[in-house]
Amino acid sequence: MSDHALETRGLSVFYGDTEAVRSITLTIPSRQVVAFIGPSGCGKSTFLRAFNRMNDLIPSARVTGEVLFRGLNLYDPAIDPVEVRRRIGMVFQKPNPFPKSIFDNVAFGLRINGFQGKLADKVEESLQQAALWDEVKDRLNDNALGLSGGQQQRLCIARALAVEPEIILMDEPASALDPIATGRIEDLIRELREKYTIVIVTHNMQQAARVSDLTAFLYVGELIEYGETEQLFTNPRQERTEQYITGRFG
Amino acid sequence: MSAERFNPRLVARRRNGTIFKWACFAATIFGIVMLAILLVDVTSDGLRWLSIDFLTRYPSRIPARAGIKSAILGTLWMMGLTAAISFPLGVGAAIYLEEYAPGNWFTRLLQTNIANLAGVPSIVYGILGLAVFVRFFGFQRSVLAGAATLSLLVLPVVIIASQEAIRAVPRSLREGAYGLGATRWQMIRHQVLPVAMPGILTGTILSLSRAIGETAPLIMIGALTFIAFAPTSPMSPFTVLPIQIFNWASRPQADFHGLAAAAIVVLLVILLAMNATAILLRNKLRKQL
Amino acid sequence: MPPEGFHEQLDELKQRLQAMSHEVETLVDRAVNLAVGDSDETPKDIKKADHAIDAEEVAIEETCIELLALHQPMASDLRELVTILKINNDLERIGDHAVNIAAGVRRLRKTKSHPPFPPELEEMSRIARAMLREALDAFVHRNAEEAVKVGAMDDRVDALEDSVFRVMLTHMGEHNISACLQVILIARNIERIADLATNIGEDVVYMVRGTTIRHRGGMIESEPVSS
Repeated sequence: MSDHALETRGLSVFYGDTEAVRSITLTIPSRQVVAFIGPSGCGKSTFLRAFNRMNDLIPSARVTGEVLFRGLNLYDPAIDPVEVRRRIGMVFQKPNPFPKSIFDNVAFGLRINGFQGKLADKVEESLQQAALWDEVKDRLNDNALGLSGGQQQRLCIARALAVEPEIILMDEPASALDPIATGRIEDLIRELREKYTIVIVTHNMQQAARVSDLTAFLYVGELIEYGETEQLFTNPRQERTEQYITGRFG
Repeated sequence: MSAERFNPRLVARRRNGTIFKWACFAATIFGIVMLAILLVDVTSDGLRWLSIDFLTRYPSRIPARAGIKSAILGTLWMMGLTAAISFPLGVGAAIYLEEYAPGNWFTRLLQTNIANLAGVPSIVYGILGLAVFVRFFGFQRSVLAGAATLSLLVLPVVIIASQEAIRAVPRSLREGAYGLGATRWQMIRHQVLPVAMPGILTGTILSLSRAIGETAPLIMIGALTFIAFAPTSPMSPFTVLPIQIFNWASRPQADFHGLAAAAIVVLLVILLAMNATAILLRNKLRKQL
Repeated sequence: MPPEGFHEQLDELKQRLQAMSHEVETLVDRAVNLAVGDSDETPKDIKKADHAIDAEEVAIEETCIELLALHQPMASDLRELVTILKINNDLERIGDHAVNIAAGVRRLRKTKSHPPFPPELEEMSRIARAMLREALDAFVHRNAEEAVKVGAMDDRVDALEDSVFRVMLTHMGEHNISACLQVILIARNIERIADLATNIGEDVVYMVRGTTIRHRGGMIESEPVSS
């Protein structure tokens, strides 16, 4: 029970009449890294965004099925999406730091959520966790937009960590970064796994293989295969998974 | 090879390009030349009437003793009050339309009508102001009535400019805020508005600089053409520079024409100052981002 | 020349491995024929032919590693490439054992009296060659059942090697001890060839099924790749 961070049951997401995610049931275990892979347009990002109700922001989106978090269905009308998003954080594909200082970026989440402790300490702790502290500790008041792409993305991770989520969702977090910055993000993910559950969408199979414990392969909105990463990449059970992984389509 | 299948006609094409470039240049020059002629004409007529006394004296039947103090102060009061009324209303409406309003037929109707209102002749606003503010609300012929009327006039432009500025805020910023558990209002206040503010302010100041030259609606609501005192409260009677200019220009004596020209120069200076402020403000805020 | 795609290069690699495996099979045949006296060649001929096999093994291995580095293959492609790498290595060692057999024959010819070859030796070599051929066929056909059968034959070869050992022991009294030892060593090399053929069979099963089997004393244990 407490081994599961999140569980979906028959989750479907519609954009207007199009069914982008088709009735997916799976479980995300706690403190592990789960990767979603699949060709473009297979619905993996949409599926991910259903976990923290970010699809609510799209007027034509409609969700059926359940997403269970700590025993509650997140799509129950009584649940406030604002509270959900504090506990299930998100890092986006293109780093999107706020046009404010580095300090204010990390402090933003703390301020709007009514953080009760000492702001500066928490900001430092978050930047440490994101492996960014040493690089920015002398220039916390500088504008965040002056950082490099990789640093900006780590800042976005620090910002998400500051509000103490249980789960961190990452939507292709390294696809806009160069290989070295990508490597650092992957190292960071490995470190973060000890305290957080991480779900990462990636179109880079090698990245999924390097970084995740479990991998789910999605195709045209359906879950084709979901299993341990080692197993899936050396001996997948489904033919279609095999074909995608060996590059025979996709 | 493929050389035979193309007829580049390079000389002709370049020549056409040059002709077009000079035509555009001529169009630009035309506007600038007209503006220069206006400025030279006005300045030459009015320069000898410009003095500190001119700025600090009240109007008089004697040209040598006439000044625009009441007009300047009236204009400043008017602009201040108009800004104070139209800015919150305009920005508030823009925020509602961009962030809160559902994308249904009613919102679209609202949007279209706001755009229409921007094109309504100002005299119509004057009549409206007379009926609603002067008579119905009982503001009489006061600065407040004038400011309310002018606010109606500039409001559509403020709303549209603010909407554009808000719309220009990238979606990624909003998503970032939401992702951290911000409510809609928190996101708007802390992320959208700061980024949109330069655009909003620029739009507001530019629309005010249109309002500064409005004469007809103010005459409608009863701005006086000859007053020898400055406004003391929003309820005071008043006059503004354009009206004073109109008044002097319509007198037969040449001296008054000179006074009108001088007043025009002052008006243009104020206008330039406002536009410069708008640009400076925008640049400063943009640098902070 | 533009680089070919991964799958084209993999096919080419498989063909080179097949060609090499023919060479190795032929070499084993020649060595065994030499041993049983059914050949005009000299041990030196065998040794020379092995050089080409060694060179080809190096070339194939380099290509495998290059493909791994540049293409990061996954799933069945990965298993196939790894299997090629392992079979390549096994084949080279089989070639070496063939050379050892020829060397043993050379030393035998130098002795004055050597014992008659026990018939077990001939049977061993027949089975070993059959095992090698079937294992390599299983690779080409990607047939796991054929591959599993190879492992079953290994026990017989082991038993036959034991027999040769005991028979030679009894002969040591009458004949040159060193000559008897050479016969035993020849038998040992044939037994090693059979073991390597078993390995090749197990590698083929991994390639096809993704499970690793180990042939232990008649029992086939199957371990899946992960739990």
